[in-house]
Amino acid sequence: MAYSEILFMFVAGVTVISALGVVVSKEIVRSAAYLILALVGVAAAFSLMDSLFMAMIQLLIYAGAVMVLFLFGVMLTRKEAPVKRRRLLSRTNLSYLILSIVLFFLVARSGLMDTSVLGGIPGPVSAIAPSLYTEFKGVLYALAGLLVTVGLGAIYIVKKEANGGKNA
Amino acid sequence: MTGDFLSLASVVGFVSGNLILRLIAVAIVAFIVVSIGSLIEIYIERKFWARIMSRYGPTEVGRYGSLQLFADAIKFISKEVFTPELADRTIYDIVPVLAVATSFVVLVAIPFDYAVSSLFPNSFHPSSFVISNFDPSLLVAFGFFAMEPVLVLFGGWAGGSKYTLIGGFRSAAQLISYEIPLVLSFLSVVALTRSLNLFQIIEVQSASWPFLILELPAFVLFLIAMLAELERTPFDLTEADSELVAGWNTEYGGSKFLLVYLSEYIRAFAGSAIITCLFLGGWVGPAPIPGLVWIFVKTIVVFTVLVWIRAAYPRVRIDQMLNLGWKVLVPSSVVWLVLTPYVANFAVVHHLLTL
Repeated sequence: MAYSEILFMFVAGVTVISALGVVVSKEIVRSAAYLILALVGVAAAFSLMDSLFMAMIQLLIYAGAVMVLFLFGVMLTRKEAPVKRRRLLSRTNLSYLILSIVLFFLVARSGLMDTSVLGGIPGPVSAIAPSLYTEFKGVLYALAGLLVTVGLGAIYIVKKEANGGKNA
Repeated sequence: MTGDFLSLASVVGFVSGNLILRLIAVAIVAFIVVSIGSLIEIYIERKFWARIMSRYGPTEVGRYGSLQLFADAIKFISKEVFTPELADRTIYDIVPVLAVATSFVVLVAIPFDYAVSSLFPNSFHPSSFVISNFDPSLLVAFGFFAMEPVLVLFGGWAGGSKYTLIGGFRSAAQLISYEIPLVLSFLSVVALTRSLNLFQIIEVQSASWPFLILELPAFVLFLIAMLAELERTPFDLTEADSELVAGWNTEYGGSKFLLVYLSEYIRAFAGSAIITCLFLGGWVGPAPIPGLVWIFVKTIVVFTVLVWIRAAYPRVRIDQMLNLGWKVLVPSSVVWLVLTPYVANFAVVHHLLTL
């Protein structure tokens, strides 16, 4: 085995173990720390698969920005994770089961064929832009519309609360 | 030692044949460069800042106080290693180490190794030694730059004190809101050169005007955002002596504080080096002086400007800082990004820029 394969196995192991740690950990900040480790592990796996661009986007957005927002929420609320015991046959567990089956089939499918066109392009980062702005123009417009809607919604909610605060 | 198989050329040939050995060699180069750089930085910080404030700075240890830094380092290392009672032990211990590591990784993207190898044109051939010439090297630098807010939050939380926690929140909010104008303003340079590779960005600048002139608004925006990212004085809100002591790192002492302090200066060095590469032409300079000296001197000059700003401007309030970030820096960097293609067209037509 080449050293990159051994490295990949190691990174994948660390990612899986820390993903388990997120669920198992009693303290909620520890869970967040494990989640960061898992996301960094995914970034490392991307970089070992010769996709440094995806790795760095993962690090910049998920590990760097999204996790900070999570941590703000977590650290301002409480220290311990809820430990309420749940029945085995509950709706929540059923939704977990369905989600994991869907994820399993997605992973299995990605082993059979290319799920993403971007993942199949070897070569420079600059090859991403033409495919993104010509082939997938519709998807890009849809995403832009969604983002604008979300932004306007956020402004609307904040505005309403500010006015309500003034009147009350 | 003069035997054939131990000559410099054969050692270099062996090293350059193996990727891991090459990485280690480049890491050693980066380590030496950043060690010298940080020492010079801290000396400039103390002496130059003192002169602006009509003080002398360190004078007693060594000539002109030059050994004061070593004395400080020895003092930090010889102190007791302690952990606050309420601290989360593991996270508290690991944060300073990770802070130094992530700051150090940023240097991989900066072409110091090319500048070193071009000193020895015969033995260290650039193509066999240089690591920093890979495609999204600028993104790698900023990817690891972006790990700082997470570490700051964990460091503040793990200290177990409410002051460090609030300091961590403030720092993280600041770092994360100034990352946006930082990225938007370097994107205009990327749009101008059509490359995310710092190496190629410098090579484009060697045949055209420096981007300090072509991209002046982006340079100003980037400098302000970088000041906030490095948490230097107009933006060092967490260092409020009367309310938050020294921010998220208050509970760190002894050698752990040394690591935190070191990571700040490595980040400052890396940030100045990125400014140098993006806007000031990196190793490009008149011929008799080698490229290594140019890139190093430019980095130190940029850092000196940061110290100068630190001495000259008062600290801003948190609402002023957020207003500046969201209402001034983000919109103007977006506007400049939209204008950049026109600037590029003008520059190419008038032979100011060769792509």
